[in-house]
Amino acid sequence: MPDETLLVERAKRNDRDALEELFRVNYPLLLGALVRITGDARAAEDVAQDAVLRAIVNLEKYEPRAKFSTWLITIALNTYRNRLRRARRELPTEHVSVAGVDSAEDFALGRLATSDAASLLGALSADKRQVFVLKHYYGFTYQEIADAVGCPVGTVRSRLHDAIQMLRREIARRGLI
Amino acid sequence: MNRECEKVREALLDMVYADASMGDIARHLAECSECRDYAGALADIAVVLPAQQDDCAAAGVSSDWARLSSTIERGVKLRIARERRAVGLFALTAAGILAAVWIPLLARSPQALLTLQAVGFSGIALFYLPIHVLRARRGDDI
Repeated sequence: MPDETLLVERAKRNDRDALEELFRVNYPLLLGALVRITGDARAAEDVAQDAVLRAIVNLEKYEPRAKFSTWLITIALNTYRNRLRRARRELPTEHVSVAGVDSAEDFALGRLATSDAASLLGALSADKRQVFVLKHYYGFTYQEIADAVGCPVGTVRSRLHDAIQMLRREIARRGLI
Repeated sequence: MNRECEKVREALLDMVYADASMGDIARHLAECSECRDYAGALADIAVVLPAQQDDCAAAGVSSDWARLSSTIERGVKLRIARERRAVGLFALTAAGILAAVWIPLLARSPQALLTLQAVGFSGIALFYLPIHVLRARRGDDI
């Protein structure tokens, strides 16, 4: 596979082949992360497509210091957050006030757990799930997660710690181990 | 410094600032049931949610390549349109500056017309310069 930096350089010159190659590698990664974070394949696909478009339009802003996939996931998480904000605004009040923020997200995005792993992750709140998925599946550094989700490194650590405790309880409750 | 360095340094920082070596950690785990429990939680999670599964097939979905391809096409068109707008804006600004400087001169002296023409040609050359630079950079039509 050609070097990622070279591909990005070619992509910046609007080389369609380079863009196809770049996303052939990174798109499944992005979509996988979003499916785990949103818990909804259709919503994940929509967010991923939005993120790809934004990434292409803003390609000049990418710095090869970080992996392209990291930058792409960061854009996707911003897109996802914006969608959640919009969905919250559009929700009927009783859903937000009675069921709470996470249930409101589930309601808005029609979240559906399809497997043990998905339903386990679904037991976490959206902010903890994002942090856990990025660390556990994608090996992001604390700083990368902090940049991606827009919070301090200390908050990332505490969310990760809480997520681990909650998952442990959930695994025990379901008798998965 | 690459990403791997960053991860190793993060782990080192965690160890140094927590003032703990692997030996310290092992000793503490032997004594502290809460931390043993936490280490157990990490191990359980690693079993139930294998971390190697890092693409969408593992997450139970497949990529829609046709949709992705059309999104890429749309993105490229948006980029080209933006570049065209930038060139157009540059041309408009250049034309405005030329008009502001040379029209008053032309009114004073008809001889200035010749000079205006010379400057006009220079202006056109200047206007096309960014287009040629963009073409050269991209290697195709604008």
